[in-house]
Amino acid sequence: MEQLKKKRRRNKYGLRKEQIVFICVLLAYPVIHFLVTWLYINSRTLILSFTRYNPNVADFQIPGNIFYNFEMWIDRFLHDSKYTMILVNSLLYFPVSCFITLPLSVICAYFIFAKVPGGTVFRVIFFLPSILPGVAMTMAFRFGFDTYGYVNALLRHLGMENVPVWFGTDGLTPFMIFFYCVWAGIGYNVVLMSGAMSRVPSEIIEYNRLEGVGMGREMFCIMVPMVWPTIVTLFTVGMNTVLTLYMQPYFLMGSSTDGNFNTGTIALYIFGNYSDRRQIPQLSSFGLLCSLFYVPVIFLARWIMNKFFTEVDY
Amino acid sequence: METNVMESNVADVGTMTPEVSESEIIESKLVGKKLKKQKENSPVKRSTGQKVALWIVCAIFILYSVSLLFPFAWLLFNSFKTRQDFLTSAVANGGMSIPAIFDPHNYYEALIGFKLTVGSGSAVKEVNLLQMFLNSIILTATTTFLEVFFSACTAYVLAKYNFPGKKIIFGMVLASMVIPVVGTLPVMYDFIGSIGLMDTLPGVWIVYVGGFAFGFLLLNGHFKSLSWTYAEAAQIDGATSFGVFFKIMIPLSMPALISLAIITAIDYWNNFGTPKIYLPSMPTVAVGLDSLMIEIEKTSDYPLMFACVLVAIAPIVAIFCCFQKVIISNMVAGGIKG
Amino acid sequence: MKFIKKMTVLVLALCLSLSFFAVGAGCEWTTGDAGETVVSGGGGISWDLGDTNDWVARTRPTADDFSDKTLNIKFFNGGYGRAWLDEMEKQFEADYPGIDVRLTASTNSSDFQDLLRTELQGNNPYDIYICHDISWESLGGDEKLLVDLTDELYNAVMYTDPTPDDTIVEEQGLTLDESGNAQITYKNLLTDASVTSAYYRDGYYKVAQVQGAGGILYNKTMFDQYGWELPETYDDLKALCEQIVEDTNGDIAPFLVAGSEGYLWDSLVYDWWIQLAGQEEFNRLFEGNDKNCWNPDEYPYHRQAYQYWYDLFVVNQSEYMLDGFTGIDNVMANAVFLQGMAAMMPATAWAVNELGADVLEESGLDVGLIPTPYVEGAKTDEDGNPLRVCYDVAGRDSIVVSTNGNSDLAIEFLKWMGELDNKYIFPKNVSGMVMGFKYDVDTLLTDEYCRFTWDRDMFKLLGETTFRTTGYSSNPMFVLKLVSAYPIENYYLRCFTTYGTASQITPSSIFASAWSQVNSKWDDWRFEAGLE
Repeated sequence: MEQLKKKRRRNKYGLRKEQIVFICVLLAYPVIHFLVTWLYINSRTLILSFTRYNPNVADFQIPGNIFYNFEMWIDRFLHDSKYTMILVNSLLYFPVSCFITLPLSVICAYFIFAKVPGGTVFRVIFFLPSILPGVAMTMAFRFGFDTYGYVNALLRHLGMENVPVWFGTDGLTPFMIFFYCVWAGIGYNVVLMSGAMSRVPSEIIEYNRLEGVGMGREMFCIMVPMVWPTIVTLFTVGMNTVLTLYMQPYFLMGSSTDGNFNTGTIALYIFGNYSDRRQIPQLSSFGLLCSLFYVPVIFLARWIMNKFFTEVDY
Repeated sequence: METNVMESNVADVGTMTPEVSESEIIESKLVGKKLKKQKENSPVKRSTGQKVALWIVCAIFILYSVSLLFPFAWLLFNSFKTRQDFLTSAVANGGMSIPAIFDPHNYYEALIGFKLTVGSGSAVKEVNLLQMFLNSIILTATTTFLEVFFSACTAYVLAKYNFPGKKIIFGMVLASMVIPVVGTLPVMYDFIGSIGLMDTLPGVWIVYVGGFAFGFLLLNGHFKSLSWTYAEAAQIDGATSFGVFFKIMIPLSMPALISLAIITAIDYWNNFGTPKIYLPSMPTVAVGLDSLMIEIEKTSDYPLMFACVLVAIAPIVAIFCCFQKVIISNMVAGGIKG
Repeated sequence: MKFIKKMTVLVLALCLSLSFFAVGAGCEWTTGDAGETVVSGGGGISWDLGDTNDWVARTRPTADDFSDKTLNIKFFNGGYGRAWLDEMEKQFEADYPGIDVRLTASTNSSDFQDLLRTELQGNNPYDIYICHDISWESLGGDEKLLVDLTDELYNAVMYTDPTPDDTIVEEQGLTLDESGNAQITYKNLLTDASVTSAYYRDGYYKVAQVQGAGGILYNKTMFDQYGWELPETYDDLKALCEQIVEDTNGDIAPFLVAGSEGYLWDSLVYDWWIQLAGQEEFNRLFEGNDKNCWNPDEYPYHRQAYQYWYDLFVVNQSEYMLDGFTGIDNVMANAVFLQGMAAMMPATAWAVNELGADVLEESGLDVGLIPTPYVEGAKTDEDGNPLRVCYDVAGRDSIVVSTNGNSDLAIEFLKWMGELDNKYIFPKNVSGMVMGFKYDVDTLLTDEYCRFTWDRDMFKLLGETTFRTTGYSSNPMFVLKLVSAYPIENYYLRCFTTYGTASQITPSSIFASAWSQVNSKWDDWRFEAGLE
């Protein structure tokens, strides 16, 4: 009976020794890497978020109040407008990425799919910002809108006396960064959406056109539902920019992490202070708080998108 | 016995997508080509209104394309000016004047002359743009290869084999991808420094390459759709699991691997944060260009800065223009399934 | 399978909890001694050690006395340029045959901040780092990655005076050796402000690289052309701004400042603050023992100074400031100033070096320094004359020595720098600035050291000032940046570039907000700084 049980257990997975070795060898590095760089790092971040740097021992220790860091951040978010603006600014990237860039990408991809004249060439040009280094793209953009750039020169030529200070005014500068994100960000999504749209069976498109379906209806009633999973994925990626975006404000504000003129973001703040060991507990608690509040929002958004729209199989 | 075991493995694995045989794949490709041709020769024509709409959209696309290309044209013209000429013209007309003399000296300076000092102590060295290109190629090539390789390993094993802990691994990986954790950068930085891998290539590989990222998801779906028949045939001939993986599955998956490699390479080539933080003494184009610009800005020699940027992006643009069909078609194929 | 899952989760949770308790149990807060609190401050740069003709210099070591004969120096190549260090390198190598000095320049200040700890912990750091905003307190005082220079440098005898003046011995606290010779240490050669700004946790972990002052940089050529007079008081300055607008029909702006450089107004605001408060009251805030120094009702001086700045520049931005100044950086601002589009710029000590001495000469422009005008209520001397005071932004510039490097040779280089003749290499190559030592101002006011009116004005100011400070405090509350002298954010200009328009950041609102925060957090901060 025992031998039979043993035999059954072996057959449940049916792995030979050679296969076990194969699985272990192939998974060794990835699993160890995951345990170390995700599990260990995140655990340590969590633990350190309850400590403070003690200059007396040059190390991290738990202060009298273990929630000191969290209280400090909540106090800052509520009462210090600099940090409030960091949060608000970061959150604004959500509608920029998901409700401006993404829909524009879908529309552009559709028209390229619908064979707009020069569509292939346009797709190549639109994709250019994605292959160029961010520092080059932002520099090219920024110089145009400098106080002495060609945009202001054109405006002065047209008779405007008080030209805007595009990258030196509170209300305007964050908008310029949002504008840049849209201007440079459309192309990558266009290519991915093109890929998704190209997989839609052509018979469906043919049938719709024979039935006299116009482009608008074709785009919104047929194409969008058929590429909905791609849209959901890109939407989620767009939502993540709230917590991860820092390069654009960094470069556009002259390689600065100060976040002047309300351009600071969560990731930029962390990027600006990562090397100061004394600040590890503050940054850890900062990131943790942001993730705790925002991750459920991501899940909720995905749930809503999947609940109210039906995926079409083909 | 072994064949039955493999079948049971396949049965466990292949629930999400139906198995497709090689001949079916070839047939579907032929059908696809036929359909594509039919589509191109479609008798259904656009109405006049639709044509007008398309031309309006074309005009908008032209404007957008010009907005993408004009800044670089502006940089090009101004890169031939002297420092003082540019400053004068910037204040006068936003740098919209054509240079009086087209002086290419800045390009020589940009390519070879202007150097960045990196490293410390006796390991200090000077690096120009050409060397930054080399650094970018080395970093991108090695990290892309490692990322694709490990993604293929993990995706294959989790797609084709059933073993204890598989679901736990899968669950944890998905959770790690879906839940963005912010604020771990300082701890990671401290960790890499504490294990003595700061400012080394292996340190960057550890940060970049895991095998459980986007590539894993992409290839996992692909491997699930691959038929196990080839493996069975190879095993009958005496191939080991390693042999099946490296000599059969990998070659069969080349298109998917190339797609992933292209997407990954583009991402790594332009990556700024990780090389800046973890590999400061081996600046890539993205990192080095930023440092170069900070240095040049102190001298207010903006035309030199423009020349550096144009020299840095020229090879990328050239390669992209030559291979844009391959690159974009692979991105399109490797992108997220609709 | 379910059982395995449950067990895995349980094991993971246990591990996490155990780790947490391990951290908690083994890591209770350790109190320590923060050491004496020292606040930066002192007189000017004037030489006060008497006649040096009879002085006997120390015996220099030779190259054979050093096992490692290569000295690696990394320096920030910014406003001061590199000519001074290049000359020092040549001269040092000539004075120490067999020694090789290697200089590495960087214009990226993050090399000295973000990357510095990594380098210092590595096997191959530079021996000397020279830059601003180096976290020398934590790197040196806490983590011991920088050499404690107290005994080996600050207390090292550089000269002996066989005929010491008793008054000088008493005033300077000089020690006498067995033969009655006065021993002049390295510390004695530095100004009080330089010494006090280098002290932390009972040690000196840096040498102040430079000394300077702030004020207003003005286009002297333009002033001479229009016949404008230099303002002495705040009201004079206001009147001058009006006059500039009127005389030029608004074509030339009275002021230009680079919007991205937040610190440029600091000299003016700090100077007004010190004028109003006096030295003692100003220092009281930096001692960090009385939270009421942040209470604008009990300590009004800072708020008053800020109000003066706010009334003159923030409220009158559109009239007194060049259009679009918030959007331009330092480099563009300098270029625009040279084009003659503005008459004045708030300036720090390195302003002319950033403009470019060669560029100035080429353009035929002369520039000068207007010391911070006096405000009403400024403290006066016995004769009723307002006291000249200086806040020095350049006090953040430091020279540090790494413990893992060639520290013996590095310290020898610093000693050599401080010798009577060698310290003049710096002002010879850098317009209007000196190193952290005492100087003979009359020597500096010669043509050899003065290329522009600015240089003369600056040396005169540094010689005459009764109080010069860098705003440094060794109190851990300041070092750990728990508390700041600024009411909000760092730097005054940054107040409204970060927080909003002028109407939102009135002096009353930001000082009230700052006081509210200090009042509520004071005890926590004291605890964290190890002061309770």
